[in-house]
Amino acid sequence: MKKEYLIRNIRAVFGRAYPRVIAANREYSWVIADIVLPLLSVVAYGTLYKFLGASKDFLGFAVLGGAMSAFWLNVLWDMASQLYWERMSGNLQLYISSPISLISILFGMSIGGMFTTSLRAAATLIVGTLIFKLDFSLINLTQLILVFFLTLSSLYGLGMTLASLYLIWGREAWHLSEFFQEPVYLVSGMYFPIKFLGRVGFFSSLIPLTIGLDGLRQVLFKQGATFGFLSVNIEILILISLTIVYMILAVFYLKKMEYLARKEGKLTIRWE
Amino acid sequence: MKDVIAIKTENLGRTYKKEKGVIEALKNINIEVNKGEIFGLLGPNGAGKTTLIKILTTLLLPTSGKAYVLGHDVEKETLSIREKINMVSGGEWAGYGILTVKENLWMFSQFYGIPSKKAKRDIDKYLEIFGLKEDANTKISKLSTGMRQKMNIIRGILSSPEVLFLDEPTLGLDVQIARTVRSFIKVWMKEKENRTILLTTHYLNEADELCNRIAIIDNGEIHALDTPQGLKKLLKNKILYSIELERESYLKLKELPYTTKFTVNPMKDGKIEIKFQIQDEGKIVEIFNYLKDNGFTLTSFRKREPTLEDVFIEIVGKELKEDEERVSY
Amino acid sequence: MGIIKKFLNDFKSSFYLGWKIESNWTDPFLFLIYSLAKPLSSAFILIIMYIIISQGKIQETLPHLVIGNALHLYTANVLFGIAWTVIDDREFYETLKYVYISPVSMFQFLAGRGFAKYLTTTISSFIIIIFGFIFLKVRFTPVPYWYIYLPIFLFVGSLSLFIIGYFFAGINFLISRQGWFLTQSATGVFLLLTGAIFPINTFPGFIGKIGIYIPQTVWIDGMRKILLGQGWNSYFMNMSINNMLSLLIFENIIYFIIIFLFFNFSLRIARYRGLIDQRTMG
Repeated sequence: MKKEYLIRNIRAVFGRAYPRVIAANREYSWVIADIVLPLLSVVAYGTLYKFLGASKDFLGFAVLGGAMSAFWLNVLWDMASQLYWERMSGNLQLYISSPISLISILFGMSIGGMFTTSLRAAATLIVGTLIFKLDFSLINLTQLILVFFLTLSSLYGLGMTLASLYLIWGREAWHLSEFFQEPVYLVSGMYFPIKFLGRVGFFSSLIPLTIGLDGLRQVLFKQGATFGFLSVNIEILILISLTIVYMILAVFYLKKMEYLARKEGKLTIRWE
Repeated sequence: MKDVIAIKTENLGRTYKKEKGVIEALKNINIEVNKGEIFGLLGPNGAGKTTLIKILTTLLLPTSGKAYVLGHDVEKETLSIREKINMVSGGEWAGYGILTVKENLWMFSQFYGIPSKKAKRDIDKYLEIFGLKEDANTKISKLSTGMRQKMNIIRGILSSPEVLFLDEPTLGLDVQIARTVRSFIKVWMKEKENRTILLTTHYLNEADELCNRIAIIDNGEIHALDTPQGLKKLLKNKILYSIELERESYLKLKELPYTTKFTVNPMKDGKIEIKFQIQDEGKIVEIFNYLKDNGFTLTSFRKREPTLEDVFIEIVGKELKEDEERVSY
Repeated sequence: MGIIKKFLNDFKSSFYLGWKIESNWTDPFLFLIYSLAKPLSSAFILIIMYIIISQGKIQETLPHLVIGNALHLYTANVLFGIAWTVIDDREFYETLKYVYISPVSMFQFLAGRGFAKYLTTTISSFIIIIFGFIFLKVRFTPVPYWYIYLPIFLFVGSLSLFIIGYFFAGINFLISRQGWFLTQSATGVFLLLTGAIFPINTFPGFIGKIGIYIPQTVWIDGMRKILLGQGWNSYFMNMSINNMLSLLIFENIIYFIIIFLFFNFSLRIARYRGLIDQRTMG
């Protein structure tokens, strides 16, 4: 029975990842959404740095932040608020009444999202590098790989946790995604080293992007370590912890929120 | 619980909190649906049909009472229920517009753990049955309402559920497609023993045609439960007539003396059909005289057998039609 | 008079709807927080970047940055808001078709909805200016008669927001819901080309000159001139406020004529192709 349940959920993961992956090949609007849009912000902030006379590494910080913002947007809009959209379209009730865990659905979404968003982030990084003629200095490849993948896993764990909250909050959830977008750019130091925010950095470290970006800057740019918040190794440990914590929270809250949504009858209301 | 029971509710209730007060969507519902039967829930909009289905499909928790599907408690044993059921709603727009018909169906089949090869085989089979083979590779955003609903029904049966919940499955479909859907339901039931369907509808002929038993629900309560024939027998002592008037003369009609449960149906040929009950058959002549004396043009009359519509009006006190809320008197 | 009354009536109804959609999802306090957090965060990112590089020394460019950022919020929110209304009402609420067949003009309907966004943005912009004044010691050195120039410039500049918003609304009538990306891209392009956060001549060659022909550039720099005594775009350095106002009005008129024609053309094409009630969501 348990083996059957596991296999069913694995199938569900791939089933749900499928539309995400296929959409990239059929609807080319993602080129604008996930490359052009972040690129415009990147060019704007990079040009501002240039106008203010900042060093090239700062331009690099802005480009890297812009590239990584693709993941944050993917988590916010394609993960956290996805269940809200699924409810609007009528898919949510079909998922809930299926004999699988919602975690599988969200996991499938994140796998599909991670794959396609990585390609887009890479494109933004490449184009930004060409525009501003950036110089990268790879300090430690192992650390780079670890920081990158742990940032993604903890980010998507956070996304799954938020998804459960959105189940209950409905339309407020969509506004929350809007709400979280820019403030997170600010407190996670997307376009500038978080060190300059002082103690705020400790609180914003709960957002995996903060620590992830800081770590990536330290391993990719000469001045990265100078403006680093914590050492890279400590940041790796933090990311591991965040991954575990958010995964546990996701499982816990999804179960709880599904129960509350069933109790309050919010699983099938469309416009709330 | 007996092995023959597919669905059972015990004093099932559901309330919703609104800004002012509380709404009782279901009140003390007690039903038992046997395995192998098509059980109909007939009622007007807002009667509680969809609320009941949502509870039974584990989408909604009851606020009082209990409900069991295939012996499993809807509150606590959700996984056991979900493995064995599926649901299809009328006017459903679920799915992903970017995917084709085949892809959407395959995706949902994966949630039930159906091996890909088998799923694709079954999908091809059902697409053929429903006449969607040529649209297999069409994106679902391009489908018409009827085609979409056919796809939804395939989605519902792909997992070969033991209990299938159909919530107004022919809503908004044209006559031909609705007929196809109903025919399919009958065939599907016969394919395997002990398949059960709970069907909600407000199409009386659909309920009459398909259901082994029907529960009439209104204002959250079950008012009657029996086979269609059994329900009609409730009116066996009633005298029912049907007359047809020219439309122009109908417009002058203000009352029809000696009658009760008076309903009006516009006919395709421009005439008006009026159905009514009378207590004393002797009064029928007086009714005809009244019509003649007041200049009404009567084109036909007949005594008739009670229909489900008559039963519904008798029990609920109003018509089932969406476009009229004519209270019978 | 009847026409004016109808216009005001239609505008009022659509404004009411827009306001309710913007605000009725939560209580007023949370709504206020939400309305402020997003734009203020964007502004603070820029200000912090500025402070980091200038190492805390407040130079004369900071006031320009603060004003530019405050006014760019209008571009981002109002332009996007008007364009997004088409998608929102068509795809999610499925009410666009009913508005379309009603006596309400689509033009007025979108204006009312956009105005709701305009009001919420005004609060945010005002807070940015106040924050700059109190915490960043931004000081204004307004020109004489600024109290006359300011409301006029604000009004004329605001009109340009709506005019350009209609352009994107017209596009959205013709494309799928994915079209919101285009509008978002446009607001990004405006950020680059209107001198909101750096002078347009930071870009080399002809790219830098494109901004001159965008009303928002004239508007933002004109407002700087009124409040600070001068703008920061070299192209307008020697222009008087009156001349800038004339240029802004002229550009508004040109854009209005073109976009009004385009908007009506889009509506006609959308009707011809059956796109008014298209659903591209699912």
